[in-house]
Amino acid sequence: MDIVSTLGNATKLCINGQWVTGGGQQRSIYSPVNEEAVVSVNDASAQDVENAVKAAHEAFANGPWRKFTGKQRRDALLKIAQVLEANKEAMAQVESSQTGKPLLYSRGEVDHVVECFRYYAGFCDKLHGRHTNVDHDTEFTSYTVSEPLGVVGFISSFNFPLMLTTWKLAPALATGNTVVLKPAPQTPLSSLFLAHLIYENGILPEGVFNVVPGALETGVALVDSPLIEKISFTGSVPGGKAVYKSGAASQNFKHITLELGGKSPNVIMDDADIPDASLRTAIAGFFNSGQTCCAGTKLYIHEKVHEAFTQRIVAVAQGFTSKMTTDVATSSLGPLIDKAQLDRVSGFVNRAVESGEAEVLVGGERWGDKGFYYKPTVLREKVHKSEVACQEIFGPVITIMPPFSDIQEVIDAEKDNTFGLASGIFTNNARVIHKYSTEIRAGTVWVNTYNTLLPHMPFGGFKNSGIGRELGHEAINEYLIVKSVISRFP
Amino acid sequence: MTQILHENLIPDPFTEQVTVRNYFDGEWHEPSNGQYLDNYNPSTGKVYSKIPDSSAEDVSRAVAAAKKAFPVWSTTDKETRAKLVHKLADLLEENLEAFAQYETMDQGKTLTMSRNVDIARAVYNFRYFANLLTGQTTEHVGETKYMKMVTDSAGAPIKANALSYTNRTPVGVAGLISPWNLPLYLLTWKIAPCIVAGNTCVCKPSEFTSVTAMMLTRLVKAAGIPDGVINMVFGLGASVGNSIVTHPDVPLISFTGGTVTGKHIARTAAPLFKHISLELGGKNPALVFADSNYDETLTSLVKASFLNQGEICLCPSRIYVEKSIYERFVTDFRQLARKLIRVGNPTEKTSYYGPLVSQIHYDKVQSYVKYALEQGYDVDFCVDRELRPEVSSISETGALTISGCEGGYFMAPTVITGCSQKSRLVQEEIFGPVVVILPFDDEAQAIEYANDTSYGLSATVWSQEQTKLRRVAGQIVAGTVWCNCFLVRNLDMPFGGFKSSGVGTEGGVHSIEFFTKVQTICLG
Repeated sequence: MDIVSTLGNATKLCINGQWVTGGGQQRSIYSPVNEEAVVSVNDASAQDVENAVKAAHEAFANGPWRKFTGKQRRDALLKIAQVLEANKEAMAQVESSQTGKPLLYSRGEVDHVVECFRYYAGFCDKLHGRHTNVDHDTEFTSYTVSEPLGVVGFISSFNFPLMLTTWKLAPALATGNTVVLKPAPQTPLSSLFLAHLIYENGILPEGVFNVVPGALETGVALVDSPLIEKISFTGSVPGGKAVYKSGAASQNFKHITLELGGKSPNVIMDDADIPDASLRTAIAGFFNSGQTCCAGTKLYIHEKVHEAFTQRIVAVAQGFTSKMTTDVATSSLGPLIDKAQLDRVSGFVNRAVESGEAEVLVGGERWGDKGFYYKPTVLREKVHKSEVACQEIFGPVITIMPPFSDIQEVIDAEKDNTFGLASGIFTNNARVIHKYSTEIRAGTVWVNTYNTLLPHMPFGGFKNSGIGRELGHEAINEYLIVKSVISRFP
Repeated sequence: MTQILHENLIPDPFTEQVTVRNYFDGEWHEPSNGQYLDNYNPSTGKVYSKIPDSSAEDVSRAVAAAKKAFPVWSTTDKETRAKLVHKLADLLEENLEAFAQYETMDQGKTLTMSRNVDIARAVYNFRYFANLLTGQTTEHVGETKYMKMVTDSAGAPIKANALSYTNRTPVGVAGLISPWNLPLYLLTWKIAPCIVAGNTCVCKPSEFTSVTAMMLTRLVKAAGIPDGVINMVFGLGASVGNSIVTHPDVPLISFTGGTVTGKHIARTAAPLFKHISLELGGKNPALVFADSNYDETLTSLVKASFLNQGEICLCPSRIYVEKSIYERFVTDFRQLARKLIRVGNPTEKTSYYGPLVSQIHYDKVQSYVKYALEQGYDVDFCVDRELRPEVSSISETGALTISGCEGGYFMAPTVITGCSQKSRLVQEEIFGPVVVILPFDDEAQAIEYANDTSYGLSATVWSQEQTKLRRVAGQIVAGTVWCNCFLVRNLDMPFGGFKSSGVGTEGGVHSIEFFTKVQTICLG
């Protein structure tokens, strides 16, 4: 498939329903598979950002979108789902072209995205307030009304470009907001293609969904804009801190949602089904080449099965490696997004080995000599609180922690984890499951599975993994603001 | 010693004669026919007080009082209603010891149970529902565009906005009929949501256990609750109960008691289109899998089976054990029952349970034992004579004579094995300290046995495997299923029985929903 002709205008900026050449730097989007340029884009200038925000603001304040009934917003979201479904293969190819994801996963992500739009479509006509029962001896009646915030700004990430955009876009549109999105600099194409599909099919009024590719300055411009009521950010912890600080200090008190990193523990109990658990554990750590905020990268194995499981996981990692190719149609794993990430991941592993903090059981080096591939790696920690057990690596690296005999030891050890995004546990013991899922401070607890993301279950972090929730009913609440109406009938 | 914290309110259970009178419109009244029923202390078999043998006339007067009080009470603001109910809870708590003593004297349950379960929970019932009230909101507010029934000058229809919301309001006078096993506990479980939701009520406690209900009426005025909101008429089901159920001015009936009476109430109330809530009997199965925590399961089930003399609708009364551990379990169960379960004077700390509530009930429970003996089942009375010197004799149907409490209706903890699933012992509710134990082959059979009675109130499942627990629990037709535990009650959770165990759901907002009516108001 020819990406360039498929994208057409969707390499420019989408502002007010029009395709506009960006006034910022022109640059290439590279494929991390072979380091070759895919297409050329122009970033947004400060003026472009201002225009996009103004368009979104105007669309919210005076445009037809504000008067859409719940049913009409519902129909719009359902239409987006339908159009995406009809263009699934094209969208998957676009996604794989900029990320190197195996096509199998890009297609799966389009399916998930379609489901998200349909799930949130269901909320549009069910946004109810509540009424407090009238006391007959007073003259007052009181009720609540929930309203959209206004213009919301999104800063999205490179690891699941389309999916993470959708997690923000679907609930924001369902509740009647207007949007300005800045995709990650490496991966603007799938979001632009989405805007193309939306506007080519006349699904949303102009100015409701705007896309302004760019880097740091573009993000800063959004966070500082007084016309933006809320920023939803997915990215690193330092990035999140910067957004939170600026958002708090900006002229208006912005609502902020942060989806940041993780160093999620995965626990294997002595009664785990080892063949099944080892495969799921490998996927937990290596899926998307470890570029998953909730990746299960810290592995706790019960002492009774420690050796057996370690051998198993090493074998599975080797199996994955043997199936790696540069062909996105067949590869088991894709590359890391760019050179900077490759250097970062290598850096963690090399430092760990050189300092003696960990030993490499399998992997631990680049794969191939072109593209940014890293071999699925299993490390064994040798020193307490090693860097590879505490910091987020964001690559296909699983660190095995020392063996434990009682689940309480894992719970105690995890108290020092500065992250709290997710956790997995493999066991069939009801008591252990109940105890662990109640006491671990993590936004999602997976039992006998990992990375299972369902549109109706809220996703988000404890501690440094972020604030706020995406998916589920909870996300709807984050895009609404509540008004109380208290009437007196004398 | 008991403390009387309010002069003249609660008589000292040790020194004063208990006088039970009907209570309505803020005053105590003799029954219109002047007749009384004997009230026995089941620990001694002796009459220690009398209760009114009221008639339809008394019920009518009480209902009239409740009806009169309704307009003001139902429009009293929520904060005030909640405050008054909290005050009642406070007064009850201050007098907890006296109430506990009366409950034990009247029902036979141990003082430990009365203090820690019955009266404590009665206090909590009031507080829980009072708190629920002030947080209560109704359902959605929706806006719609509708066509007004007018057109503009050009003849085009005019569209307007309408705001729709729901409005929950009290219903009227509720008839509350409560049983003798957890007397004040179950009576207040009805009174609390009823009056908190703005209704008034006429209560008929069981004629076997009316004393603590009577004591409660003494606190009502002191709490500031207006006259006529809570009314009580004491007497028999056939007269008082029936009059309440058929009274045209009582639109709500909440009943807890036996299935047979429940059927009668349903039949009587249905043509009057009353809203009824029935909490009836149970024959609760316990499913013990081989992979359960053996010691914990054994101890929990021994204690659960005989709790409150087995007189709780939720007690496990048929225990199914996976066949690989069946023999061992039966042996250990009998041994542990002998060790843990002391039957005795309910006021003594060491007693695990006391006498059954009445002679009639005593005879009924023993008739099941007699039947079991006639059928040739294995009947074991779990009393170690050496460990229990206070047991001076055991009859062939398990009746115990306890020294110091001769004349009391005491029964041995009884374990019966050797009967089949279809046996009366397995199918019928006995409601005493009698448990049957049977083996099962596999999970499918356990579930089949569990569901194979006409009841469906509760069940317990014992296993350490979480997938099995959820899978099995989901297939048992019972309103509450406890896994690896028993009688854990969160008042927010829906509570009710399936099949012959009843109709309706109580708990949290479900109770409030039963005691209110909802209407949609559309403001155009």
